[in-house]
Amino acid sequence: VLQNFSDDPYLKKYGSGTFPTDWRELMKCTDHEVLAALRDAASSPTDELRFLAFPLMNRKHLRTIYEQVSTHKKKRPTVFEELFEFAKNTFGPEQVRADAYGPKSERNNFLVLTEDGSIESSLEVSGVIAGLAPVEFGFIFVAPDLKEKAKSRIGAELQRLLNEGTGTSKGV
Amino acid sequence: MDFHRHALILAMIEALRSQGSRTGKTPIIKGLFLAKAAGLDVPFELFLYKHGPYSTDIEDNLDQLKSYGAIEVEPAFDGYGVKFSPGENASFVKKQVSLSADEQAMIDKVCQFIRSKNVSQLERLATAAWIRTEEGITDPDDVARRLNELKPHISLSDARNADREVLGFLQVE
Repeated sequence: VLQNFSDDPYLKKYGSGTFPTDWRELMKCTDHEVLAALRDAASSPTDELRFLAFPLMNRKHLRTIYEQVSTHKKKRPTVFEELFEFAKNTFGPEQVRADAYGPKSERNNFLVLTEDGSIESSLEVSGVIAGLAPVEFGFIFVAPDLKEKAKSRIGAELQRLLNEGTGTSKGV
Repeated sequence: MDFHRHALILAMIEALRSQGSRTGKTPIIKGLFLAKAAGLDVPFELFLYKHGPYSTDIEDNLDQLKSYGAIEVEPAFDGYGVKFSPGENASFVKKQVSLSADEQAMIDKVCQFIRSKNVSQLERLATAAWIRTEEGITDPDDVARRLNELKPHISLSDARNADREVLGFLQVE
C-alpha cells in the first residue's frame, strides 16, 4: 500500500506529511497502520481526512476520461493542456486531475560489437533504436460520478481541437 | 510547454543547417551556452560536465520538440550521435513565438562562430567561456591554467588559443 500510494494526497496529509528518515521509525509505519487509519478516517464523518480516505476505501477513485496518444499531439501539440483546462472549467478544478510524464528519450546510444568485429554506435546499426519515440503519457481523470458525461464532453472537445489543427492555439 | 525555449532551439538547428554545420546535440548545447556567455538571455539550466557546459534541460526540450514533430532526428552516419532537422510542425513553434531580432542575430552570430568547429574545439571554447563568465576568471593565463586543470587532455597552449579565440567572440558586440 505504501509503495502503490506513495504519491497519494491521503498519505501526504497522513501523520506528519512525510515519512521518517530514521529507518526504525519508518518500519513502524506498515500497511496495517495505514489501512487502519484509512478505515477510521473513511468511516468517521468528522475526520478531516475523510474526503481523501473515503474514495480510496470505497472504490470512488477518479476515473480516466482521456489518455493522450502521439497522433493527437502531432495534430495539436497543446491538446493535453487544452483538454485539461477545458475539463477544469467545465466540471470544476476539484473534480479533475491530470497525470503526465515525459516526453523522455531513453539513452539508447551505446556501443555494439558487430559480426565483423567492428564497434559501432547502436544508433547507426539499428534504425529501430534510432527511431524510438520518446516515452510520454498523459491522463486526465474526473470524479467517478462525472465519468460518462465528462467522457462525452471531452470526446467532443477533442474532436473540435483536432479538426482545428495547429492553426489557432496560442500561449498554452 | 515553453515555446520560447523551443523557438530558440529550433533557431539554433536552422542556423547551424544554413551554415552547413552539424546539427547534433553538442553544437546545439555548446552554441546556446556561448550565446548565453555573449549576453543572450538563454532560459536553460547549464552545468559544467565531462566535455564542457552541458544541459539536460535542453535535452528534455529536444525530446518535447520531437514529440510533436517540430524536429526530426536521424542517426549521423559518420557514427557520431544524431542530427536534428526541422519537422513538419516547426511552423507551429514559429506561430507561437517569434524570436526578437536581437535573439536571432545572436544565434546567427554564434552559429557563424562555431560553424567549422569539431566537438573537441567546441569543448575547449565553451569551457573557456564558462571559466570567464561563470567562474569570473578573466586573466588569460589564469583562464588557460584553469582550463588545463579542468581538462588535463587540453594542453596549456591549446587552452590559451581557445581562450583567445573565445574572448574575441565574446568581445565583438
